Amino acid sequence: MPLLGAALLAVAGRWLPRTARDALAGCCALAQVLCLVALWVRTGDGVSVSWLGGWRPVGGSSVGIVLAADRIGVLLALVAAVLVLAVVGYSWRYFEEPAGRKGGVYPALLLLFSAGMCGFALTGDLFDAFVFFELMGAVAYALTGFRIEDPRPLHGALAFGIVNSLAAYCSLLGIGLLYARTGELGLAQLGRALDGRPPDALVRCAFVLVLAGPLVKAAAAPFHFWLPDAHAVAPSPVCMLLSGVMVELGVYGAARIHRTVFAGPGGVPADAVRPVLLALGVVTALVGAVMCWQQRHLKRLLAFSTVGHIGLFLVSFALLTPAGVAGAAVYLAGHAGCKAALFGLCGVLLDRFGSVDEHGLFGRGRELPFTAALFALGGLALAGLPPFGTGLGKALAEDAAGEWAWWLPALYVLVSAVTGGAVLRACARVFGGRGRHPAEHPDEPETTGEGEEPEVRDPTRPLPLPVLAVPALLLAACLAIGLCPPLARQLAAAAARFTDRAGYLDAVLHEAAALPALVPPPAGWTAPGLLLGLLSTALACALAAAALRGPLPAPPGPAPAPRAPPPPLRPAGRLRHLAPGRPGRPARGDHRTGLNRRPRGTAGRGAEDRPRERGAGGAATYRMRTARPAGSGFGTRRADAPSVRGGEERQQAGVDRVRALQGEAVARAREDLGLRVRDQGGDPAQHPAGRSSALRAPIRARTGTVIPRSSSSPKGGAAGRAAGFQVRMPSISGASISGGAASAGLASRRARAGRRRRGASMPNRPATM
Amino acid sequence: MGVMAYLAAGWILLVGCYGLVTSRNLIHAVGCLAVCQSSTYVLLLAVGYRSGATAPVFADLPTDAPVVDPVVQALALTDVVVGATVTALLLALVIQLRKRHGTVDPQRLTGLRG
Repeated sequence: MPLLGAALLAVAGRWLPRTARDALAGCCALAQVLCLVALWVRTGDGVSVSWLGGWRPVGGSSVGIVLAADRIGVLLALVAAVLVLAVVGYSWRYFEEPAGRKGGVYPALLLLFSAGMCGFALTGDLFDAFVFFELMGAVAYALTGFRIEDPRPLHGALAFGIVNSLAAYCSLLGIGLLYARTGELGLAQLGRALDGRPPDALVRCAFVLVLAGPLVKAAAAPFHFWLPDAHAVAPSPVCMLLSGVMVELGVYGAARIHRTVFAGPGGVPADAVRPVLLALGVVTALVGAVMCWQQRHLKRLLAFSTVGHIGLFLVSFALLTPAGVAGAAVYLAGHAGCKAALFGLCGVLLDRFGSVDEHGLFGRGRELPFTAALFALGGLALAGLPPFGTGLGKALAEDAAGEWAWWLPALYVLVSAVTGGAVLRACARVFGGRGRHPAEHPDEPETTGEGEEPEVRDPTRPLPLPVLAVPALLLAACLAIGLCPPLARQLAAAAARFTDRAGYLDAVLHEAAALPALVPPPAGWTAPGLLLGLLSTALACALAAAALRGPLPAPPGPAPAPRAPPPPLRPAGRLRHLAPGRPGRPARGDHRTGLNRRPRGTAGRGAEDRPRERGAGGAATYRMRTARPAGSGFGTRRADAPSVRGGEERQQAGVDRVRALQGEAVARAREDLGLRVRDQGGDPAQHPAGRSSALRAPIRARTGTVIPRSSSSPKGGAAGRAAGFQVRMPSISGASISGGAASAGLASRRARAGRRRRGASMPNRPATM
Repeated sequence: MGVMAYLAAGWILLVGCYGLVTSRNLIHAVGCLAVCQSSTYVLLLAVGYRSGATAPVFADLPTDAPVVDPVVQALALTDVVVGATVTALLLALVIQLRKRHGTVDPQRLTGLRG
């Protein structure tokens, strides 16, 4: 159904008007949800099996491809479908879509994504799982990089794509090894074939390889780094899907493959699997929680909290008990609702203010009380407040984990309290203006979340209704999961079925109609669960309050002068860029691009009177929004703009002058450099890249050669020196040495050409940076 | 064939991973990803190989002729399709990144930190 819709949309999208496209996408998503609900009812406590093309097994062996759904799988597919429906609704008026030939691409991609996720959740065949996994992945890369005008989404999508594809190929290698050993590809057939032989090293190797794919997709600890990069930059509606369900599907895939294929006597013993997965989960949870607390970019914050919760799901699953799976399932469903709602609300902020920076938005959200209330509710739900589904899931999982090790419930409480506390802290700062204004640390490399591209063209319009209604509905769904005991009981029964391996094999291979009844684990509110939920919520509130009232390191304002005197000035080539920083030169960017220099008084706060229009004025908007304490070296535009027509003697002269300016004067030079290069910009339409904080850092890295405090990123690796050094070091060569280039575009073209020339003519640059 | 094909597959994977880790150019990185993927082709085909067998097309063969395993060939074909899609998509992203950012060196993509 979604595939059909996607094809229709991709073909017909260029003629249909916007409303018709959205309505079509909505109808497809709704139909998918209804189909899955029907499947949920029909599956009952058993396993629904469907052999594609009618290639049914004969005597327990088959060459066909099977879809096999038990309720856990259907739950995942249902969550995915509901979220896709929600996202289609949310994007109804949210996105500015390219018209004409590319129209309809976005909803078509969404439907493809949903097809990939549902297929992955319902398949009973290992190779099909790989194909759906890659389908899901490829569409996710495309959606992440959907706004191709902005370089940051592209960067995030690339990291996401490379890491995940590599992991998927590892999975495929494992699948090849399993096929070599058993001659089967279906999950159930593989499981049965492995049962018939003693375990050996090849199977263990295949186990590791096969699980690599889903676990990397699930952002387990050593491979979690792609997730915040991708989630911070993807469009908000896409984040709802990525964080809400795609990452969780990784956990589900690992669980399904392990349970069905490797849990038998011929697979990998549970005693070996459990500690490994537990350790992975614990590390992931802790990393996620700690990093979440330190973020100020709201979407990154939420992304890291997803990492933390993924760790908790992994822990619950790693217990390998029905109770653990039941807890994980309820928790996962609740988390999907609440996290998607939070990302949706971040989209509202981005829509209103063009920023998702916790510090930059300080107190500016006061005008949005309803959003604030929803955000706070989302934070509380994330912390596991009892009536919510997350609270119930956490209680169940804690119960299950507590039987295995006493300290695991503490981990649950800690992680959910820290992530919930971080969200509440951000909420209080952004919407309430509580606490003191956080200090700026302009010298630390940090993703601030300022200068984000608003995802809409016209911020002056009234806030569209779906943008608030959808998060509210999602939170309500999260609440309903917690308040509806039959649902939790059904999920518990489903978890029992999920862990019943023999029943699954029977159902798939022998089409056993009636499976033996299983005893479901308890699923309901218990006193300890309630208490722990309340405890973690209280802890979250306390943490948030502590963060708001905590001592401030330094008042916001101009950055202090560099503490250390600059090191002896080294080669001339590296310092050329300081020459323009000399006082006394006119700020050439002003007349060339028509951009105004910002008064320094607005530093750090983002200007309240930010103009609302885009286009020519938009550049000023960004300039203001990225205004920084003067002299911080931030806010710089990319180094393309300057040209190199200065010539060596001018460079030498510049270096001599700078040499004379050591000590305090360097700070002044640096200050001017920061402003000058920023204003040198060039036409923002040509370099949309420049306004983002993405590109401040290159300049910073260069100034870092002179002022050690701001030297960023240890780059001097041997590999770096050997390869690509000249590419990396095209030093900006004096932002305003360039003479009277008529237009910034011309200047930047010259700069590129000059850089190439220079790269060729100066092979022996010093190799330290 | 024997064990050599499996060793070759492992070697290709490791070489690709090494290139990916040390890459200073995103196009090179995407190429390395394709190299990693080609190790799966080698492995899959090696799994299905039978010495002395021919292609599994029975149009002009007796039905009892030895043929190689057709399943892995189907898998390898699917794999090729998947790989082509992913590689094309990633390369398109790199091109767009080069246009917007002016570099293909991952070390200079400094937009995402902290």
